[in-house]
Amino acid sequence: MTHRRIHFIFGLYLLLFCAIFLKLFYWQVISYERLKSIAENQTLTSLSIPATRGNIYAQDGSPLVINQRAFLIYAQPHEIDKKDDAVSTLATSLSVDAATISALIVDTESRWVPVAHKVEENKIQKIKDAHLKGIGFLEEPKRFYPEGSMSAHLLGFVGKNSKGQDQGYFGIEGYYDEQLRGRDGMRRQEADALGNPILLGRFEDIGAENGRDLTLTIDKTAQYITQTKLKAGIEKYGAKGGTVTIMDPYTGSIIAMASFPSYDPAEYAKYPTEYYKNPAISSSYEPGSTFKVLVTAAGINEDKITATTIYDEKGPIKIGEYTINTWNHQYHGPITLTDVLRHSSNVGMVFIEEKLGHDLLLKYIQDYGFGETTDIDLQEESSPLLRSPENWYPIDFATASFGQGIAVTPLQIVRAVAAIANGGTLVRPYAVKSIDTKNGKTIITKPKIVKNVLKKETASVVSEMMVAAVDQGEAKRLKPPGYRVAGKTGTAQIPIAGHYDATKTIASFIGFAPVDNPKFVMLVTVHEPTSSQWGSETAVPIFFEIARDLFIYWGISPTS
Amino acid sequence: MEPTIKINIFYVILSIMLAIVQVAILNTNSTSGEKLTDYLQEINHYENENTNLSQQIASSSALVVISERARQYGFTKDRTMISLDKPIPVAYSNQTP
Repeated sequence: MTHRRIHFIFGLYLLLFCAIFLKLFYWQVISYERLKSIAENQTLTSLSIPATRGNIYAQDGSPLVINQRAFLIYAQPHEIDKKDDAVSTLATSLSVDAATISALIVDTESRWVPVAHKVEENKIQKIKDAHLKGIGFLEEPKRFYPEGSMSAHLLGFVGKNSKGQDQGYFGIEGYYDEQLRGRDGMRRQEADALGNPILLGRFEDIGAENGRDLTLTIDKTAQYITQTKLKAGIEKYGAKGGTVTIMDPYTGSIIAMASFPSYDPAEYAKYPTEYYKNPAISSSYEPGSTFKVLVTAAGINEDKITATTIYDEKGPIKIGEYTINTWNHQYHGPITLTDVLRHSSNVGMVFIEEKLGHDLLLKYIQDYGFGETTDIDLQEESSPLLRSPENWYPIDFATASFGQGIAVTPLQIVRAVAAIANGGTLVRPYAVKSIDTKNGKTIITKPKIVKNVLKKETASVVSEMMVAAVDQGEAKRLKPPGYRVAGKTGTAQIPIAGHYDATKTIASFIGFAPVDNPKFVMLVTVHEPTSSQWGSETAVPIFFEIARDLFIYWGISPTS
Repeated sequence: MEPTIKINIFYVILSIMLAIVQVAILNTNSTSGEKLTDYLQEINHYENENTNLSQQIASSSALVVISERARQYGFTKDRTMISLDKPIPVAYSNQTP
């Protein structure tokens, strides 16, 4: 009997032991992953380390775009006890009507609601001082533009993508978005009950890679001068808008680029979306008489004509059913081709084109880079397409010789004329001088020569012809005395619905100076000026207003 | 005592001492997280201050601000260009030639 009881007790203990063993097996083997995950969630804290977006500097290192502290204000509606106070404080501080705030935090079943994004520090202080329960703040930096809306088209802006993340659009912010954005980091570490890190505990750290800083080729002072003078000129001449592009003809670096109408990148949403595109690189226009210098250069380069070749400007020319006139219906008899440029004679240009030949004209149009983008490092560059050769008719070649019937962007014209200024090479324009990689390495953009288009002698001859066009043409009274400036006016009619509008023009002036060692090539375009439709009376004054200030700023002395 | 016993006693004492040291160090480090948090907060504070000051400096040195201030103070742009077309003498001779 005693043995049976002992055996029974033993069996009971064995059973209990097996039960404990099975339970331990269940917790430590079968549920291992699940319990480990729960334990980690309790003891491991994860912290996202946001990357700081890179800054953008002008050529001299002064900031054009930096980051400023801003906050996301969020609400946890179920924790808000004084809803009326919360609504009124938020509405007052954020300058938003109370109904909007109320809809977000009162009439909702959400447990977490974003109330306002990127609110500046000075605006949230009042909200913080109110110590509202259920209202919290997360750091959400935003862009700050010390120069306001200067260089807006060049810089672009930072908006949100479909995932709600910051993303650059247009200009530099768009083109270099990946470089500027950087990569967020993550820190996971064991923490005690108070949330303090345990140094000897688990620690995983993937550091944030901050965005790279960019230094542009833009000269801030030149940009300021350009922007101010262009704005004043557009207002003075009653124009719809305008652009100025200034480039170093030897390197292709963009010195200044301004366009109107413009927008404030800090408040881009308040402006029409059509303002965001940079007209200097994405809008097309017919260049008019500014194109004549390129056709003339082509003719001289091919030894078909010289600066002193004589053309008898007798009267209008008939091409099929069309008649080509001069702009002022004046005809000067036998004149040199230098005078053809000086008088901006359309019939003279038809003569040059006939000497050059259709095939060579098309070849040079392509060689100058028209019909394709310049590859400048700005987002949203586009190029009007060139018609295929079989779609060109005799009248098209004739009108192309004086810059009508062919569409270009302002930057394309600047780049092509830069080839005359620099001795014959087509360069690639660029706006970013260097990229700071933050690990001690700086990537410097090297100027790139795309191809040789003209002989040096051709460039010299055409430069002198352009100097004569300025010194003896309509622009002579506006040029600062003693400076040699090469230039050409342009007044192009605007094509509308298959015909040219008789009253609306795009007035322009392209030029470079000082001629013997050009520091800059500049194109001014004025869209639909109302005070006068002519380039000589609108674009030229703006050009020389800017050029005069640039001569002083850069200490360029007159040569005579 | 035999040398073997002495060595064994030495090892035991050494083990106990190392264990005490380990406990002391672990104990100190286990509460250092609080200091680390303080340092991180201080770093964060200075970084924020740097950001704010950078913004203020950039604002104050902006060309639009400087030119407006210059205009308010009465500065005008002198656009007169004077051309010196003869070399300026370094020194004059006072002897009659």
